[in-house]
Amino acid sequence: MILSLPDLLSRISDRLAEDVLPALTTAGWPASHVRSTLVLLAYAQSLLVNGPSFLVHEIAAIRVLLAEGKAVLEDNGFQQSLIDDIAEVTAESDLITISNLDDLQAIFSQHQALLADLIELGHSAPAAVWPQTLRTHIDCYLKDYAKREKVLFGEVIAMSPL
Amino acid sequence: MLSGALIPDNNRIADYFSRKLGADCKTLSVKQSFPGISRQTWLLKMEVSGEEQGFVLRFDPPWGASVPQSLKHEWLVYSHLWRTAIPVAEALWYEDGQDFLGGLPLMVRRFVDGSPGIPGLAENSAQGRKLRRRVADEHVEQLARLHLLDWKAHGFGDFLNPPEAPGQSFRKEFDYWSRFWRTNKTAPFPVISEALYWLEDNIPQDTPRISLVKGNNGVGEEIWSPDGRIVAFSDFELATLGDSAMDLAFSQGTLELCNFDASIRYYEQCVGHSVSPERLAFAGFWIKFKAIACLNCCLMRGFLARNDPRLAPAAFELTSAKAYEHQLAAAMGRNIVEAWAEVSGRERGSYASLGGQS
Repeated sequence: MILSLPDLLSRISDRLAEDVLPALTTAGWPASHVRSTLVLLAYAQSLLVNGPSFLVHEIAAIRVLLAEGKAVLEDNGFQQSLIDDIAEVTAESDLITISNLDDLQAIFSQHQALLADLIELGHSAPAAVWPQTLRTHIDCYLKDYAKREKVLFGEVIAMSPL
Repeated sequence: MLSGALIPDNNRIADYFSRKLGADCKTLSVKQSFPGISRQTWLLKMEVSGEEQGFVLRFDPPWGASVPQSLKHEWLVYSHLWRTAIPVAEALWYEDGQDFLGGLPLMVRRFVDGSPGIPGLAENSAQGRKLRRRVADEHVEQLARLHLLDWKAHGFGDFLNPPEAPGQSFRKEFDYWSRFWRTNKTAPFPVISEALYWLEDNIPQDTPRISLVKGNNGVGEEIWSPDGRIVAFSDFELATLGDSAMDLAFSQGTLELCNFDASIRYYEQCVGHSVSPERLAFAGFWIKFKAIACLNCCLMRGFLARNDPRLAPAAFELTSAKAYEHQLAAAMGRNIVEAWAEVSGRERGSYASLGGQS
């Protein structure tokens, strides 16, 4: 039987936390390196287990937002380069077929960059031509995103790296 | 070498100090101060012309500091404060381009007895509670003294570029740090992009006076006596001229040791003016953004470039920076005072939990 990667990471974490960390002085770089390693292992574990479904969900949610934003941009003739970039990513084929974590992370980063640009543009545009509904959608998405993200970071956040 | 320590051997340290002090020096001991996340700090015991003396050597590692401000900025704050009644260690010299540390900027100050941690502070007993109360009160009193300092008369305006008027304090701070963030962030952060607009909409203008603001402060930063007195303020890497509420929001758990609200009321008595809920709330969320900016734009940037050998920057990005980002996400769009009321007073003192062993 092959040990799964999350299980392997979990065993490494247990040994470090139970056997190595207690043997070190609390306040010093050796303990800090071990604590930081535990944080990074916890994140890697969560990323392996929850990462793919989280990223697929997030990419899909951002695409909906970007599509709404694009409609506003076209109507009001804002920055053409952003319209082109959004058109490109919203025309992508079904993302469910992608399962590679690296690819998903790269696509997610690209979508986040466009969302950040959309937010900047929305705030610099005159209120009269930037619909409040889109701003509300963005606000709701960001809050929901942060809540969902706690699944990824929840256990990690409680750990102090010092 | 732990944490990428860069200190030369004892003979070279002795040679350098002999040259600088114009006296025969011998290195007795060398110890790195922990955690020293912002800059490398080394505690040196030297024999100078037969007399034992302590020094603190502080310098930026090659991967950079955890803040955008230069070491010279910090040196200037130290050396100007030394000429006031505010307790700081004597600043001895600053040097840039020397051969001792390969040209890295460095500063040397005199060692003062005390510790960044306080033994027994986390103790669950009547004595522990009494100590926590004393530490919180002491910190309030010393911060108030710093904030009431006549910075203009002591020359701080010559290098700290003050706001044009008290009411412009937070605006100036916002402009500087939001520009720094936009230029140096390692990735797009839509939550922070949106949060910055929310913060901008809530910039207070009721700052009563421009103060010398220390920046990161409290247990873990200052040099404390075992009975909970501040022997010397320490680490001025984020010092600026602006609204003193930023220091109240950046005590890293020290003002939360007993009761945060009571500490604020005591501070108001000490400085003679009130701290409006709007200033306190803005400062509270602002410090969270500033911490994200330092963790990401300085620490994480160095880690990603594979220059910083420490693992802590990546761990901080996944813990502190993420936690602050989530708090901003939950608050933005809401009334800032109401949102802050749910968060304030809940800071965990990460340094205090070390139990004074640093």
